[in-house]
Amino acid sequence: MSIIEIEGLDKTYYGMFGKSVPALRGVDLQVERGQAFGLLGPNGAGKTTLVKVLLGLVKTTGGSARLLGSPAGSATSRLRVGYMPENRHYPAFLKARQVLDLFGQLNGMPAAQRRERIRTVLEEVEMSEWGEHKVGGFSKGMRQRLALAQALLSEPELLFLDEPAEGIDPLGRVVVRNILRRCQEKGTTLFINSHLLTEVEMVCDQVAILHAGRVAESGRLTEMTSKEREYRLIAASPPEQVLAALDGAVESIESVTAPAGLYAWKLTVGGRPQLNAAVDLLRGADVEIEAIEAVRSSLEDVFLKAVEDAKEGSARVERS
Amino acid sequence: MSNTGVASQIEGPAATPTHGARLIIAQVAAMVRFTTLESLHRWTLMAFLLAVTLFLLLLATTVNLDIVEGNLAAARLFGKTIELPEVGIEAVDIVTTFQVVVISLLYSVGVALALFSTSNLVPRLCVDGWVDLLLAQPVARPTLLLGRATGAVAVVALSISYLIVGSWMLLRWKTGFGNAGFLLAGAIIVATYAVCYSGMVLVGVVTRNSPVSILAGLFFWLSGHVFHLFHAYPAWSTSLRAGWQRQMGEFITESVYWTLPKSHGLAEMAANAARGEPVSGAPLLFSLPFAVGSLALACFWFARRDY
Repeated sequence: MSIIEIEGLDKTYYGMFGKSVPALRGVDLQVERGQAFGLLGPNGAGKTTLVKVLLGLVKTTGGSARLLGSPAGSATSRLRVGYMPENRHYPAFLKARQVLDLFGQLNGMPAAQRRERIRTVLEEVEMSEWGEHKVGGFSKGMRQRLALAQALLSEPELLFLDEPAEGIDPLGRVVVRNILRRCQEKGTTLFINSHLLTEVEMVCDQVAILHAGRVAESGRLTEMTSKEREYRLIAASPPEQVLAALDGAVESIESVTAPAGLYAWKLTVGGRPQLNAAVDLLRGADVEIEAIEAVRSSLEDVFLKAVEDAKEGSARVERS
Repeated sequence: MSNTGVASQIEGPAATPTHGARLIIAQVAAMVRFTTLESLHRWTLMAFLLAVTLFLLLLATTVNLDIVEGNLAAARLFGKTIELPEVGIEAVDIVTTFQVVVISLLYSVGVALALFSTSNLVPRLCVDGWVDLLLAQPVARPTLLLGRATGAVAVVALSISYLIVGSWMLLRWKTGFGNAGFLLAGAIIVATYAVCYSGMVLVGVVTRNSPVSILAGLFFWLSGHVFHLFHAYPAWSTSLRAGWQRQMGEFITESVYWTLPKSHGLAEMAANAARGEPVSGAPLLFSLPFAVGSLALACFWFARRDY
């Protein structure tokens, strides 16, 4: 069963003089248990609104959403959910331990359990020695890690992270990434909302791209980034031997940058049988193959294409 | 994966359940504790507590009263003997006069200071990046807001109790006379604050603005006195020329008077209690609809709003 089920979700904000701003328009999404899901989109695409709807911070104007089998935003669903918002405004007078203690109490954790969990999560985010320090003196990265500790406090089944790597240095990002990987290993479902594509690429296995409140594209990251029928061949044999062996056997062959002492080509083939036939020809001609791999586009390419397609689609709808 | 919080406590067979009423009490307690911690970092509260401590220390160390058969026989202030009039002064009168002065000061300065120092508690609760974190927890929005309001009232009640109970005990020790009405007067002042603060909660949650919130609190408190004048002296309407103007004027002032807190009546209640005279609970009773209505509207607004 899906851990998040969203069907035809709409959210429109209304201004003081009846001006309406649609933030989500018929969003359909499903996230399976144990996945690391990345929600991508340009600024103003509706990513934060979607997360807030799922947590009940924002009321929907249409459609439905369910979290862990309960209606999104219900106290029952929030019991098993951790949330790390994009903007964190912890009261400066509180110590890190007091912040966590407050959230533990709001989650109904008994005192002894709170003490133990606070110790554990502070260790996990590498902030054990900062528990008795006031949040007002923390750097942005430390606040980020404290926010993560707070989100992990109740050992949630589903973790929402809004821009988890925003504004922290590369070392801090590694720490956050490692924590998220450990969470995923334990079976926690991750829902990451970010515009830092490289971070999403490193952590997530499933993504959706949101544009102007609509899902422009969604699917498995590996499928979205793999280019159909394009492969990279690396060989140790001289170029003329390779070209002679593949003459007429592939649709196109193009020399590309290779590691030192080797030769590389980008092959375009009609399909997997033609690729295997090409390999047979290479082996028949005693070509020394170092590697053959599917060519992948970067997530950035996929993202830009999806946003561009969505823009064109919207323009077509408006014109018609 | 198990949740060690409430989820597992509901689902897990071995865990101690913390849900329903117990969970709500725990959540309110958490908000009260958080609000108390926050208040202790405010200079207004700390200055008040410091001033009260100094006052109590002075009262304990510099005032010496010799009471003989209920009358003041001798008095020393800062070690110097005070000349007493030949007419006997009863200890009861000294204590009562002193306590009425304390209550008068507390009603005027104390309530204003309390409203001022707690005016930004609700707007600060609604700050982006904090309110969304709190609302993402398994806590009902009214619980969160009422917990915050309870925390504010608790802090003010404890501060006022420190002054009232402290000075009551010292005077009892020095004169042997304990006026229970003084303690009741302290409770009435806390109630006056609580009624005005409930209006501030509503304004705070709607506007999310501290200055507007404090102005509203002072308005609710002071306007009760102003509209009491219209209510107590209905002859004011004879200054209006047309009959419909008089009717309209009376209708408006009476409506506002019965809607707002009965600040004047509450002040009289506190003074009477401090004097040891009979106290009517009517002003408190007629102020309750304002408090309950304000809190209900505040919860309704808070529960419906997008954050």
